Amino acid sequence: MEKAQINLYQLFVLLVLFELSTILAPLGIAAKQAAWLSILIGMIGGLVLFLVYYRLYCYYPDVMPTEYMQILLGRFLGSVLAFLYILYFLYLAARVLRNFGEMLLILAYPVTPLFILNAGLVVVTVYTVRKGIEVLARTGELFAIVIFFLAASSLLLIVLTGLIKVTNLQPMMEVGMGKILETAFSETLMIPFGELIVFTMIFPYVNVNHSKKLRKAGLMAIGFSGIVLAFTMAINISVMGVSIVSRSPFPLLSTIRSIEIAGFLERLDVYFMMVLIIGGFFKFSIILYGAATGTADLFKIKETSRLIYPLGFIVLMFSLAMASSYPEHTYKILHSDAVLFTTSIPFLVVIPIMLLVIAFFKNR
Amino acid sequence: MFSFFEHSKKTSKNYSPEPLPKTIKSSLSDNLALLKQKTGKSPDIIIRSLKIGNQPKVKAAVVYVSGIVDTQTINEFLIEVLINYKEKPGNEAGQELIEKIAEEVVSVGSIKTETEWSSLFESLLSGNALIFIDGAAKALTAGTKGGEKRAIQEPSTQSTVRGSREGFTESMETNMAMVRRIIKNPNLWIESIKIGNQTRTDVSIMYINGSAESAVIEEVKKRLKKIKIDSILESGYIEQLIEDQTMSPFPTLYYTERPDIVAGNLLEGRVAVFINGTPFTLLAPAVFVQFFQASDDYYTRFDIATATRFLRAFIFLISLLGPATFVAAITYHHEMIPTTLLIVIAAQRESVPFPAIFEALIMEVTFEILREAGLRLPKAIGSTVSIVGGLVVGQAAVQAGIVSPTMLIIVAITAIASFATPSFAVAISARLLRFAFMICAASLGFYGIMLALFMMVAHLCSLRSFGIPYMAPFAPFMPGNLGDTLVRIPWWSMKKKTQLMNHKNIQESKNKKSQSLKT
Amino acid sequence: MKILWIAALLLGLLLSYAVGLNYVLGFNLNKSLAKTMNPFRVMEIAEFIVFLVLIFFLFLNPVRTFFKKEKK
Repeated sequence: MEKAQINLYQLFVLLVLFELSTILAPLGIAAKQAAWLSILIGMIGGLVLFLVYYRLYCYYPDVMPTEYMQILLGRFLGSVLAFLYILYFLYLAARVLRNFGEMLLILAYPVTPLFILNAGLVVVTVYTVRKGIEVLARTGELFAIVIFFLAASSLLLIVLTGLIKVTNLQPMMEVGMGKILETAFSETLMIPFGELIVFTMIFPYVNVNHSKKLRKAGLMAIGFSGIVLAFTMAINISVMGVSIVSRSPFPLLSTIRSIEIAGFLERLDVYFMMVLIIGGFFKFSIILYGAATGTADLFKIKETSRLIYPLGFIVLMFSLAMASSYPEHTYKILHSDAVLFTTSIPFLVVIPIMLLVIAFFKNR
Repeated sequence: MFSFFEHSKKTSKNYSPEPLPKTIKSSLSDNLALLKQKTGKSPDIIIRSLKIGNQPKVKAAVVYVSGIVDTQTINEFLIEVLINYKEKPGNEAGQELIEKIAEEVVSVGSIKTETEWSSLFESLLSGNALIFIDGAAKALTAGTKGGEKRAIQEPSTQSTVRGSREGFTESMETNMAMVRRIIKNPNLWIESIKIGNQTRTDVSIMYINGSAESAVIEEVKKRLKKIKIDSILESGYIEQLIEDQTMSPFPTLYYTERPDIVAGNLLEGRVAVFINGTPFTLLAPAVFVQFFQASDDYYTRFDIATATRFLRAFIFLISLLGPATFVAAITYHHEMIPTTLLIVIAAQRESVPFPAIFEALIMEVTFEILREAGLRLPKAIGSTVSIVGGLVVGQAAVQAGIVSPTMLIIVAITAIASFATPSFAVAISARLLRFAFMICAASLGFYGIMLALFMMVAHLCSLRSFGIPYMAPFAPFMPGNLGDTLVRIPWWSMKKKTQLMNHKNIQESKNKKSQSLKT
Repeated sequence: MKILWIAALLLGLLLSYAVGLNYVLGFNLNKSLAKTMNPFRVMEIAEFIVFLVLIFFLFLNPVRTFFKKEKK
């Protein structure tokens, strides 16, 4: 563990930035008009998952998850599990990177190779993450201000131009409650909220005199970002209608593009791109940091910073190799049971709950 | 790593051919001979021999360096009174006589007895007069510093519309006196050391005891004491030797030539470092927003000041990103330019043979050349350069079809913006980074700009100036200290001066936590 | 060097996961291997140069520390 500390506000900012990076994707659109509802349900599930991670942290507030797994499961089994988690984080990082690169490709760089786009982000991320969690957190604080102004001004513009048609949000229950719940638990719970497991690697760095405050910060961050995500999706649907949103890879982009004021303020793609890059940067760097600090802890490497470039490199390689095209990639993430049952469900839900049960009995 | 560097390092010391003897002797002629030999009989070392007392007369000498002493003081209060001293020395040895002279005869403000050659030489060369008396193994040093100085003038940098017109001069004493005149507080403390093996430059640190944090004071002193260098010619030497990180385009110390800025910063708890021989005084620790503040902001009303500060932040962004954004938009993101504007630009660029990045680089480099040329020239020729640059290069380049008029406008705005940043130190780093941003923009468009921006912000966030995070109070975010950053709240609502310079308020402490989440 | 071995191990496992996933999704083994390696087989000049530079930096640090140790 490097000697660094972040405060609760910084943790809050990092959590929100991490969550909000999914604001661009058509989140939970399988639930049609009730997409926002499925996000909120997913958020409630996310809050429960966060409490699970938080309880585990409460049992072992000063050590990395890679270490308390070894305490809980024994040295060998715990190490193997920790190693699997590191692999999962790397996979997650590669997935985020791939998504990011493909989005940029579609958005503005049709002829630039994906490798170059991804490499750019990796280089900048490695540069930042090498400087440690403190610098990452401070960078987050600065860009949180930027995101806030972007969000406020774009919301203002959308409302001013009178694009919102609430009728587009009706009928709300077109797909039925079953489908909404299914979307919530297979998609929205995992993708923005469950991925917070990476933060278990960061909790030990949070300087807090009372762990309840950490819980409060976490719950507030998840609640806040869940509401923002749901609200954004609702605005997307109300501006463009559900059929366009469900066919669009980036509904937010289409929404922003439909802003037009005075014949001059139009095509605000820059807004979208800034949100994309800021979100992608923070999500990717937080996961990369989690993976690196976990690896350093597991393999007893003193300088975490030296690990970051090699890990960034393999993530870059894997992000290209994991799928041969964007449709294949989204299919693998969202619709393939093989991925769901080998990555998200066990790593985000099953194993943490299992660990919590063991920890509960061990510390009784 | 490379061993041949280390060899060359060792040879640079030991400039003195043979060491000085430690203490002076009692024989006057011996002392004077040594003095002459050590100074190489330089003609500006004046040795005035005289005889004092009556029956027996005792030989004595007054030694000073002409030009750096106040001749009037020496003539009236040293030589004249010594010659007129007609008391009978009796059988007192020179030892007692010298004390008597110090106490009863010489009427100069500061007088000291010294026995060591090294301190005598230092004192002589910094403008004091030495008095030797035959038979005494001691010498007197009388404070007669003087000589020609530049008068206090209006500072040439950082001029303001409102506020004091005084600027620092090259004399450290005058500068410190100017600050003392503003802050009449006995807690304003000064500590002095000499740096530079050859130049023996006076360097003083000034702080308000109780207001400045002792950790910062100790750190400044420690870093100053660690300096091992032959010469200090300007505050830039000290700045580069004590800054936290050398590999950074951003300054982590603030420099100024205005006494009111120094006074204001001292009151905020900073430490000032005065260097003799330069009007520029260093202030530590420095934070990034400080470079966007001018002393006017505090003198004008708060709404105007706040608006001006936002304007300056905007100006900084233009001077950093102006050409890069244009290049990116032209090269990659046509769809983001409104159609009518795009048509105009495209029509202009039709005849231009270069890609946008070359066009931008040509104009930027031309501008830098013009600026550098104008800087060193005498004022009379300077206007010629601006005519040649502005009219011939600008107008002709457009007519010749080498650059488009739009690009010329962008470059011109950028150029003006880079001069409008209040601090030259930050303006110049923006100018340097501008080229990096332009290259990033040319290779990856807005994405490239954003990546470079991320790198820059991460770098800024990683900087610290004497333990204070450089981006404070934005990162780490300290809501209580935002009153004097990009905004300036009215004076009555500023309960105290900002407490930014205090480690206690920053990030890692625990008492900060509870308050930070409420926002 | 230890770090590079760890990285190689992690990369190997990740790539085998990708291959395995393709296999599960219904491609045969050869096809899944080929799919995984596809992005590295077709590279533009610029891409390749960036790739080489990145690899160079990957080995820069271990080599440098190795020489430093040698000197001591």
